[in-house]
Amino acid sequence: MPASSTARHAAALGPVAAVSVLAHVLLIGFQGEAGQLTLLAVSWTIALTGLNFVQGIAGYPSLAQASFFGGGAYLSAILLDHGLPAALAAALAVGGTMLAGLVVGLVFSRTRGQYFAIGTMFFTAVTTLVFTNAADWTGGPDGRPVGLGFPLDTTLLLLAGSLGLGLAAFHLLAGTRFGARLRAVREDEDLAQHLGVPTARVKLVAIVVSAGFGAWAGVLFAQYNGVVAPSQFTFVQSFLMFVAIGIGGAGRLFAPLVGSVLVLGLTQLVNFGPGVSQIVLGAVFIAVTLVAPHGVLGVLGALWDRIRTKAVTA
Amino acid sequence: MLTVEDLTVAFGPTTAVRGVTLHAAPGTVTGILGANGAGKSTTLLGIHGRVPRSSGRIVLDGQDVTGHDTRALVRAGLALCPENRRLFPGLTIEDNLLVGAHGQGRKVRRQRLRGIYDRFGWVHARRAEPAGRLSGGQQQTVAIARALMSDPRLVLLDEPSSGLSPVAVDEVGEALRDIARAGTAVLLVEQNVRLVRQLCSTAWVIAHGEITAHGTVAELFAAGAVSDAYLGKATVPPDSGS
Repeated sequence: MPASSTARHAAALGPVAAVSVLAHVLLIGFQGEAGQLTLLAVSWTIALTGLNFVQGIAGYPSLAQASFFGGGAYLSAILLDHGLPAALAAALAVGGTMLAGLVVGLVFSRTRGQYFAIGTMFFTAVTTLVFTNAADWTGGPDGRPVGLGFPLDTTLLLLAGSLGLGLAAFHLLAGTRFGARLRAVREDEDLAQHLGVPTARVKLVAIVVSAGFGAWAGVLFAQYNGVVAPSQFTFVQSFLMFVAIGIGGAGRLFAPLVGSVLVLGLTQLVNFGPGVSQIVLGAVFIAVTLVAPHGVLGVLGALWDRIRTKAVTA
Repeated sequence: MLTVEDLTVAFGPTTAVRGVTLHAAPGTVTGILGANGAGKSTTLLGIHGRVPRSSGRIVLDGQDVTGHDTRALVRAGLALCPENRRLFPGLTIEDNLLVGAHGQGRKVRRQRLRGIYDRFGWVHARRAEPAGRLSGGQQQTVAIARALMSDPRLVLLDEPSSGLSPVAVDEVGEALRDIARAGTAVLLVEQNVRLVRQLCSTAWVIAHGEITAHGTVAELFAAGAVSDAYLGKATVPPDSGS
């Protein structure tokens, strides 16, 4: 068993390291619009790795991730403005957002399925209102500048490194009893309770973890971007994040990366003017979901299995 | 040794189980018999803390576990195999088993897994397959194995034979006999009379939420208590006037 688990870890962590290095190269290489898109893709991947615990492994459709993302971005910007050292501001921003995640979890982890989705959507609606209207803190609808906490080089390294470490942490945690409990919740929550799995607490931990990932991604995003505005953290973003996990392949290690790249790429490519773009995007997402209910990675995985079986039997 | 005293479970104005008192001894299979809707499953769920009890005392090996929630009960040595909800179909067989010992550390989980694989060789061979692919009988065997992963002192089983072929029922019966032989107490709710006769030494008969008879299985069958429970006594007057 140890030999096979070592191989399994190597097969997952090797590509994770490669992706992390590639992200760093792209972040340094791209400027302007391409750089902006790369930043979004990397920070979304970090945020979505957290969401992948809740939505991916536990099967709970959360629409709160953009709130956590924004929470980290805004809190760190505000704290930096108050003269806190960058590391402390970042830590407090992540901690504060995890606390918000704890409240969200305590309230909504007792609900299931669509009720959980509606509850977390409500939370995002509230945070969007706060980001937009608490102008003294957030700068209002136009957003606010973000003070320089980390030097740019450090921010780029942190972005690429967090992407890799985040994915690695996901891979390792998914193999622990925490991961097993989350999968049991997804499969049959009642049976899990019969077996004594503390389902409410397991879900709560997953939500707090996802808030932490989202907030840290927000801190780094704000650092690189230099400006934070409410339009980056609305319900629409939360919904796109939710879609990204589904399109990538819920619960799979690289779903956050594949989903982020596809969703962000498509939103850039599909540009038919306001209103029409959203309708086209919606149609594309529905089509992908119908054709590939287990996401792009699910399709690729099935293809790979077929090729391998053929190679073995031939 | 499990002792249940005066267990009552009510759902609103309806009392499903009333003042049930029963025992289950280690190393034996104890049956709970009765017709559909008599309160057998509710009794098991009441013991396991899955439905709210309005009264009752649960004592396991001298330890009062009445106030424990399901999680604490599992830790105290009480494992439940619920009816018709056997496995997590999308998880591998091994992951299903591991959920049974989810409260334990990695080392203990691995050790118990080895114990299960030693006992059920075919489970080891198919451990990486999704559990949903197994036949009904195999699923029930894995469900029982998963209960054993918590190293229980008492296993509560709700209708393990339902929906199974006769051959599969025999396999499940064999597994249960092994468990009891190893010193674990087994409390079995079952409609399959043949399985009850094969496995149970003693049994409790429930009708309308109350215990109506107790004794060795042979005695209960001889006295007609079992057929009364399943088929009903001729208590309804032939002409009730309606």
